Amino acid sequence: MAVIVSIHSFRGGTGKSNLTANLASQIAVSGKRVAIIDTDIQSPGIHVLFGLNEEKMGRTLNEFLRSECSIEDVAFDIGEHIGDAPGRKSLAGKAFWLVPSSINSGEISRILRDGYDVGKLNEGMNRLIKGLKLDYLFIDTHPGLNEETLLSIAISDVLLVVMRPDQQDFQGTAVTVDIARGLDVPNLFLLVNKALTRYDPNQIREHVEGIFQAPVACVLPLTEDMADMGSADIFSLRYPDHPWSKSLREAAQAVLNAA
Amino acid sequence: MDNEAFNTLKRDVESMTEVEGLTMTDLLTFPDDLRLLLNWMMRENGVQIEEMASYLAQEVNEARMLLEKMIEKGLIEEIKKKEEEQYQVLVKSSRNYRVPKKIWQVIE
Ligand SMILES: Nc1ncnc2c1ncn2[C@@H]1O[C@H](COP(=O)(O)OP(=O)(O)OP(=O)(O)O)[C@@H](O)[C@H]1O
Ligand SMILES: [Mg+2]
Repeated sequence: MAVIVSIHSFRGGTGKSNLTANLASQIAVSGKRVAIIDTDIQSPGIHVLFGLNEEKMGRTLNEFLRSECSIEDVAFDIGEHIGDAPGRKSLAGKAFWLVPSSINSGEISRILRDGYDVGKLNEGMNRLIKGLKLDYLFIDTHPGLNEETLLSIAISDVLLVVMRPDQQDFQGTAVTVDIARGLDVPNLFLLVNKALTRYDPNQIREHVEGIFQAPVACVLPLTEDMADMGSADIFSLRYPDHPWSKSLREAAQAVLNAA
Repeated sequence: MDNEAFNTLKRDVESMTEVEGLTMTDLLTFPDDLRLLLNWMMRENGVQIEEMASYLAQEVNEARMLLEKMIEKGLIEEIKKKEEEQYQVLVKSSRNYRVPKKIWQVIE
């Protein structure tokens, strides 16, 4: 059985897409069969980290949700198309796929207007797991709570809740953690991202764990290097010795150990 | 689960209004034992009647009665997997994608 990992945050811009791409890449590099599905249909972004644009991505999740193609048709083979970013070189030949959402403005407004069938999304994820014989399915989500983020939480074996050390994030994270407990998620981890380097990460960890009574898988520093890369590559593969990457690998290990 | 809890669970299912599939927001409002059962079934992604009986710590016949009620209410569907009868949560085909107000009552 595949392990389903969803990455969620109550507020936007916490770093979900970058974390999803990096965690999934680390696990793919370790030899597991991994796919990412971008369920952030309203504002997709994770394809950028894999060098995809509208032209290159081919079929999208939107078409699957309208029953115009199968989910396997949408899965983009990352291992076969790593592009020219230095970090992604280590992904060559890996069993690693991305199911992208469309960035065509017409497609996005169509989804916003008509909504989509959440039941069909669930069916697609199940088929993807079987069709690609996945070990891990990562779900990148839209921030906040709606039927499809709740569904991704409900079917997850591992839920990663990303937060910044910011009061607004603390309150929102409390809501998400409550919901995850209501949905009985077997493995819940908090990921703190964009921590100021002038504070001790261990203290941040203790503080956050104390508040939410849930384990913190890693505390990732705020870093200009990351912002500077502008999601153009997989940071932890490009700069494996960077403190951000070292922390990230702790979270990847926590995921591998959890399920 | 003990017989008393199981009877409560049966009554909870009986008193439900029929639905065409489960929404996650509804799931969050269900009584604990029913919610836990459905959560478990969702994550298993298809269970056999024997597995359900052992989850409930009940005889297969008892479990089947509950299951049939859940199918009647539109929460569960039967699927065939490798020639075996399996049962799965029926996720509502909702096109409505905003969160209903109810969710805020749940988490308050
Ligand atoms: N630790 C960090 N230090 C500095 N910048 C970061 C860090 N983590 C992420 N970023 C930057 O923050 C921005 C948002 O990241 P990302 O798109 O991954 O977040 P997100 O949670 O997926 O956003 P959304 O909610 O819009 O989907 C990006 O520009 C990214 O480069
Ligand atoms: Mg994102």
